[in-house]
Amino acid sequence: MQLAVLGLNHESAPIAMRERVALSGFALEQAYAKLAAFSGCDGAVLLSTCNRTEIYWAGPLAMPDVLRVWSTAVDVDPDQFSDHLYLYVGDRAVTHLFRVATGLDSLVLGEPQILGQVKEAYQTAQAFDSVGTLHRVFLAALRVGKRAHTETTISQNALSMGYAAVELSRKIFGEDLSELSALVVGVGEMGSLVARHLGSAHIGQITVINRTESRARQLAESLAARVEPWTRLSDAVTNADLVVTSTRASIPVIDADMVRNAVKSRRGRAMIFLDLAVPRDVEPGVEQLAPSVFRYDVDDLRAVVQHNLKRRQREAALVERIVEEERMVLEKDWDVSKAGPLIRSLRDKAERIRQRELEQTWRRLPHLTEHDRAVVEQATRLMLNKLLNDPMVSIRGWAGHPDGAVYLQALRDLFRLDGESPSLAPKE
Amino acid sequence: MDTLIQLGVFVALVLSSTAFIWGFYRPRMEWSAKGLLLLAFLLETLFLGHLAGMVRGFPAVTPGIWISFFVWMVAGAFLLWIRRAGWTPIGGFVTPVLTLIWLGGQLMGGTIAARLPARLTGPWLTFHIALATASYTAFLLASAAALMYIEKERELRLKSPRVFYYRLPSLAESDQWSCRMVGIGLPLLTAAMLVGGIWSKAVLGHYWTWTGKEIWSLVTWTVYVGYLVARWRGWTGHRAAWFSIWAFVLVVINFFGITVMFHGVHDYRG
Repeated sequence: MQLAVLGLNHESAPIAMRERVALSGFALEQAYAKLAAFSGCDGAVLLSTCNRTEIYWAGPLAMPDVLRVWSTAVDVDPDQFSDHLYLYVGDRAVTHLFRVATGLDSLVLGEPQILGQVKEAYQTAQAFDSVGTLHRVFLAALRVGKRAHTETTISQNALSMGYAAVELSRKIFGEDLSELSALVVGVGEMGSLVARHLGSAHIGQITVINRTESRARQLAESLAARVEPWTRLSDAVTNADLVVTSTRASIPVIDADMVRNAVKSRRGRAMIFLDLAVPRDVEPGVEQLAPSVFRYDVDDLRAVVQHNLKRRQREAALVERIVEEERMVLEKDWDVSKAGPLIRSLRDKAERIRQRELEQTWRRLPHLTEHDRAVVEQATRLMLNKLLNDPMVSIRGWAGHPDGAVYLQALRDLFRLDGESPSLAPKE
Repeated sequence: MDTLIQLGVFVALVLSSTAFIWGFYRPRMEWSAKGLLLLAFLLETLFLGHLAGMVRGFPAVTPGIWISFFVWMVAGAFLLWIRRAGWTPIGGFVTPVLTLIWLGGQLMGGTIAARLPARLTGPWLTFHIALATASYTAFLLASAAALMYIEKERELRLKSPRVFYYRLPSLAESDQWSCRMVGIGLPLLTAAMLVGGIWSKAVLGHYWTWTGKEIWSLVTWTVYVGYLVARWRGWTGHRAAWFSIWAFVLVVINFFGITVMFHGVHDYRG
C-alpha cells in the first residue's frame, strides 16, 4: 500500500501559519475535487483541526502534486509553508496516523477529542467519495484510538488547573457534585476559571462573594450563581463544601478562626479550600485543624497536574505498544490481501493454459466420446490442482513474513504474472 | 484430597492477593486477580461440600473449618460487591487480610474429627453460625472500605497523588459503604445472638451463659451499635473510618483470642 501523509502541526508550525493553510469549507471542497482529478490518487482523506492540517493519500501520486493542490486550495504559495511540512510514507505514515488518533501526537497528551476529529475527517472524505483504498487504514486508526482510551488511562487525569480542581472535588465528594455548594471568594482570573469549570460540572449551587459587590454580580450572572455581601463571608464559608478563593488581598481573608468555627458546625463533613490567590487567601495550616479540611494552593494544584502528566506519559508507553501492535496487524492484512490477487492470477494463468491445450487436443482427437473427454478434462484439472496446491499454501504463509514481499515478487517474476491479469495492477 | 484442595485454596489466595496489589499499578491485572479469587471460592466450595458430605450436615462447627467457611463467604460476597465498577482495587486490601485469616485458621487446626456432641447440633446451630459469619463478613468489608478511606485521605492531605489517589473510589463513597456494611452486619449479628440464645435454651436450658465468647460478642455488638449511633449523630469521614477499623479488630480478637483462651460451649475443641 502506498500510503503517505503530508502535513503540519502545532510543533512544526506557529498558529499564524496553521490558520493560513487550514483546509476547511471551500478550500476543503476544492482540495478534494482536485485530488479526485488525479488518476494516481487511489484515495485521500483531509484532516484539519486547530492544531494540525494533514493530507493522507494512497497511490502513486507524487508529493509535489499534493502540495500544489493544497497551496492552490488555500491560496498560499508553497514556498511559504513548505519548511513547516512533514512527509511520512508507508509504515511511518500508518504509525503517524495511529499516533494522531490516540492523542500521542496532540498538544495535550492523550486528549480524546482528536479521535472524534479523525472520525469526522473520515466521514467527510466518505461524503466526497474520496476515501478509496484508505478505508482499511482509517478504520484501523479509529479502532486503535478506541483501544487507547479503553485499555489505558492516557485520556484520564486532568492536565489543566481548572479541571484538576473539579477532579479533586470528585476524589473527595464523589462523581456527583449536584448536592454540593461552592463558594467563590474574589473574582480573580484563576478563581473565575475554576468557578466556570465547577459550573459546567453541574455543581449544586455557587455563591460569589467579593469586596466590590458589583463585580461579584458580573461573575455571578455568567455562572447563574447567588451573590452574598462581604460581611457574610464567615457564614458562607461554614455553609460551603468547596471554597475557591482568588482575591487581591495582601493578608489571608479566611483565617484559622473562621475555619475552626466552620469545622465545629459541620461535624466532620469535608471541606476543600482551593486557594488560587498569590499572596494566599486562606491561612496556611488550616488543614491541620481537622482531618476533614483539605487546602490546596496554586502550587499544590500545579503539583497534582504534574503528577497527572507523568501518569499520562507512563500510559503513553502502553499506547505506543498498541499502535505498533495494530500497525503489524494491518501490515499482515495488507500482505494477505496482496497474496489474494497473486493466487488468483496464478490460477487464472494455469486455467487458461489448460483450456487452450484441451481445445487443441479435442481438435487432434475428434473421435473421443463425451465420456473420454470428461475423463481427460478431469485428469488435467486434478493435475493442475495438485501441482498448485503447495504453492498456494506457501503464498498464504508468506503473508506477514518479513521477506514476504520479496518472495511474492519472485513468484510474480518466475511465472511472469505481471500484466497477466488486471487484478494485479499496482492498486493494492 | 482435602489437603490438596486446601493447598489449592492457599495458592489461589496468595496469587490473587499479589495480582490485586499489582493491579493498583496495572489495572489489567485485576482480571487475573478476580479470576484467582473466584478459583479460591470454588475450591473452598468443593472443600466444604466434601466435608458436608462426610459428616452429613453442616461442616463449619470447628474453628479451622469455620475459617474456611468465613473465607468462602467473604470471597463470594466480595466478588458480588465489586461488580460495581471502580471498586475492584479494594481487593488489594481484602484479599491479603483474607489470606492471613485463612492461615490463622490453619494454625488453629480443628479437623472434622473434633465433632460436637450430637445433642448440640441441628438446624438452629447451622443458622446461628451462618448468621454470625455473614455479620463478620459485613464487618470485614466495612473495615476494608474504612481502610481505603484512610489511605486515600492520607494521599489527598499529603497533596502528592500516588497510586491510591488515582485508583481508589472517592472519600464519600468509601465512607458511605463502610456505614452501609455495618448497617447490614449489625442486624445479622443481632439475629445470630438471638438464634444462639433460643437454641441454647432448647438444648442447654438457659438463654445466656456468660462465657467469654458471649461476653465478647455482646461487647462487639455494643461497639457497633455505638458506631451507628455516632453516625446518626453526625460522625462521618475520618473518625468514623477509624471507628470501623478498630471495631473489626475487636471482631478478630473475639474470634481468635476468645476461642483459644476460654472454655465452654463455644470451645469447639471438643
